[in-house]
Amino acid sequence: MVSEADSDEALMELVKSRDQDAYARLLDRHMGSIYAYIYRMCQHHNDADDLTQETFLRLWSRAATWKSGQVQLTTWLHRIAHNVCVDTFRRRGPDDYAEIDPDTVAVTDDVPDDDRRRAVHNAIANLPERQRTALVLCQLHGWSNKDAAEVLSVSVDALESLVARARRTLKRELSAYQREICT
Amino acid sequence: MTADEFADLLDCYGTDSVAWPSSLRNEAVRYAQVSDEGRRLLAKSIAFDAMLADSTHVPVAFRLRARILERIATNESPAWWSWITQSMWRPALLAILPLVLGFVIGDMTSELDGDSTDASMFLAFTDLENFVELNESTATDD
Repeated sequence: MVSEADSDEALMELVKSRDQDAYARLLDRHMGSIYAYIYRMCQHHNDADDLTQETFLRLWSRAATWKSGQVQLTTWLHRIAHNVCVDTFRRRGPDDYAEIDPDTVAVTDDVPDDDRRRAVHNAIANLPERQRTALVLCQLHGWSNKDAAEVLSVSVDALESLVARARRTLKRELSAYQREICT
Repeated sequence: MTADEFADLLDCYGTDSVAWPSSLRNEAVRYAQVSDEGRRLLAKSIAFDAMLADSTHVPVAFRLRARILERIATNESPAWWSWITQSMWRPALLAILPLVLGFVIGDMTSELDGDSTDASMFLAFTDLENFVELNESTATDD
């Protein structure tokens, strides 16, 4: 249980007055979740490091723009992380992200774990960016559709549509591996 | 509920019935219990979720916390500068800037053009004296 003095809101007020200890506590509290989100979005260890750092530097430099009561800090942070990822993806262009190799999702009777992981990795990486975000937040982070919709600044209906399309695409791409798991 | 509707529900809201819309929950739970196709779809969806979770393991970030804190400590600007750049004063300062520039330019111009200023002042006082004299003579005539 987080006390009121140790709440995100209280710590953010301290961060606004440039309190580095409060910032470090927020970093401890939220870095794991933000790192996991970014890693699942970009699927690259070094990129995840850099983009997580950029997200938390923005938390520091833009702390004054966060308004308590308007949006939860974790939602705001994920929105920053999302924007950082999207900016980076757009700057680099689609060529930096490998197309799905059809061979990696071929039907086989004996699928080693590494192959399956690689196939899942490729299938997620090749989803359109908004579908990927929706899937990562709802499916892998366990967020509610409402909270994920806030990060993407879309309606809940639109978010549900994004999640459903992402899941259908992945099910289609990964059907061979899914069959292997179910049997 | 049909198999397609149930599959759509699983795609939109996942396998946890708590997350299903309340208007559909009872019907969907019943479908998953009584229908073979419903049970098959639910089991397949749970396996799919497990496969995704298992295949998207996130490594531990190494030294990232220290790196971020170092950046904050080394890049920190003085508090007064943060106050100016991050508060509502920034747009106000920008708005005042043309006014300040106007004063500075006006002040410089008046120093360069001192003779014409003196002449204007002379004419102004001359006119005032004439005006006073004119008024006094008018009052005397009355």
